[in-house]
Amino acid sequence: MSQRLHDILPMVEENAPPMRFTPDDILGLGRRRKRNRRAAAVASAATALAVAVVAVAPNALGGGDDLAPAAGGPAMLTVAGPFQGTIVTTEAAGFTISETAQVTDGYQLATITTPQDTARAAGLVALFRPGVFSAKAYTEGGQKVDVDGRPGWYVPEVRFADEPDPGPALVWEYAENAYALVAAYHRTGRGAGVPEPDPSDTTTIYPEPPKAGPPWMDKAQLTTVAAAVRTTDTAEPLRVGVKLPELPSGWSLDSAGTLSSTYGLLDDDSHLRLVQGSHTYQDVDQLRTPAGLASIVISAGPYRASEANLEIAPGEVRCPKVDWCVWLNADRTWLAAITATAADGSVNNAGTGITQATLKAMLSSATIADPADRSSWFPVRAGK
Amino acid sequence: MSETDRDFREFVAAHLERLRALAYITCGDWQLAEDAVATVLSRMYPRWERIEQPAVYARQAVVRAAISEKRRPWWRRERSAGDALPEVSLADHSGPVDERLRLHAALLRVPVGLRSVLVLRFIEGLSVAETAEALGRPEGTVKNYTSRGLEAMRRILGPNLTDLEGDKHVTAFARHSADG
Repeated sequence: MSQRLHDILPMVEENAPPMRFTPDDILGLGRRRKRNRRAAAVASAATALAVAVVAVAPNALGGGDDLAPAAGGPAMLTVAGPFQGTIVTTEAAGFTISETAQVTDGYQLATITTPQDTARAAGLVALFRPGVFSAKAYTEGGQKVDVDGRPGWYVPEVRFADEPDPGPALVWEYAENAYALVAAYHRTGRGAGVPEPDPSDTTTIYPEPPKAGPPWMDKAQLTTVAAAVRTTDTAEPLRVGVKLPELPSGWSLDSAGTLSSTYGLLDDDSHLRLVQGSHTYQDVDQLRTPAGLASIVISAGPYRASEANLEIAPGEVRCPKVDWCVWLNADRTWLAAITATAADGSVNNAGTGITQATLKAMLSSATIADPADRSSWFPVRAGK
Repeated sequence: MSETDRDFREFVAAHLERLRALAYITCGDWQLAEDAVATVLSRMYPRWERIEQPAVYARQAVVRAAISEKRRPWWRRERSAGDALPEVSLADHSGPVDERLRLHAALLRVPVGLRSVLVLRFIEGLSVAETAEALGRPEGTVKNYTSRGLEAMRRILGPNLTDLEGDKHVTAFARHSADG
């Protein structure tokens, strides 16, 4: 049996998922980088934290003006406004649907959990505002199903951004041109338990990542869970454990919540994600952070044992890297962090207009709540 | 669009997919791979007319960047939540792919320092000297990492592995070392 390393390349190319960047995106990023370099050469003045009073977007909070019942079927789900959370906790088919865990201007997300695995989610619920989700791939290629009187489509194999093993998902039109989605995660998979590589260690062979088990839900269970999703009639602002008094000028809120970016991991860290400029979710067919926009993420959560090797003095904001500052509370139980990422996704703040001093000032001005006491968390109050 | 922009765009269009695949082989994560490729290519643009062999430069830089992306501390905290909605795609059911999947899985278990050397030498086909230049390491280190990387692959893949490509390089290296 001949095993040749370079045979991997064509195999990987053949099975690659759709590309997030186009050649024009790359060209645009290159042009921006060139402009920034020129600007930096002309004037290297430090960018002060230019802050603006956060504007509250119309209908962003608390209102309910555009709440509308689903037409043509049971009025179980309502259309929420931007950054509103309306999904309520529900039990179905042995699974628990959480209340809204993440919001953007275009959709809200909730997790599906099972008592059999408290570390990782069993699936995801996404509720899109009208016109936000492009359901074409589901409506044209999926199997038709009935979700409590509403039209739905089941697809047995869809691929997650961070997960190589495809799993099942179901989309249904809960209101006119407004879609919802439930997807099942695998019983095991990537995420927790896979160590981050230590570049200085050239000896340790990493343990084999866990093989993906079967999906937590099949078609019938997904249909049952979808039919069980419920929303409130009055939208409540989502609450998170971190609050910024102001946003930097020219930045807007992209998302807020407690959903981990790691596939299925239930870690409950709060975060606010800001993007430079403004971004509106439209015609999305997958949840990806918007490409081509610089971002700042501020997060807060429990201080974990795995982070205990960090030398952070309690009570003070420290910036170990130019694009990364951290803060530890006096009891060494809560940790908050802030990072900036350039528009091209690179790990630096070049071109963002955000200096280390700015990040430090932002984290210093943030209010961090007890991660374990959700009653002390703050309503999301940022708009475009 | 200027001629430079047109040239650059044509280069990106021609190499984007392959570079992303190369980055993915190196880091094992599609999103990190895309980030690494976008970073490398956008950094090439301002210097486009001064880069003599852009394809070679890009491939080597992408491997370095893919390893670098994996080294980011706390990358989980740095990314926004919500990257997890599935996209519809077809699964690959072809049997012959299994062996290459196994090989790739083994490569991803090799320590990153050794892995970057294996990728550049046996997937990109660079010589020891070229690999050393690409990674900014002494040639002796590259030889050492090549030997240890292949040994790690053999340990992971088990005793059935008899003819992993690269053995001949190790043999040649051993002979060269003995001669030298």
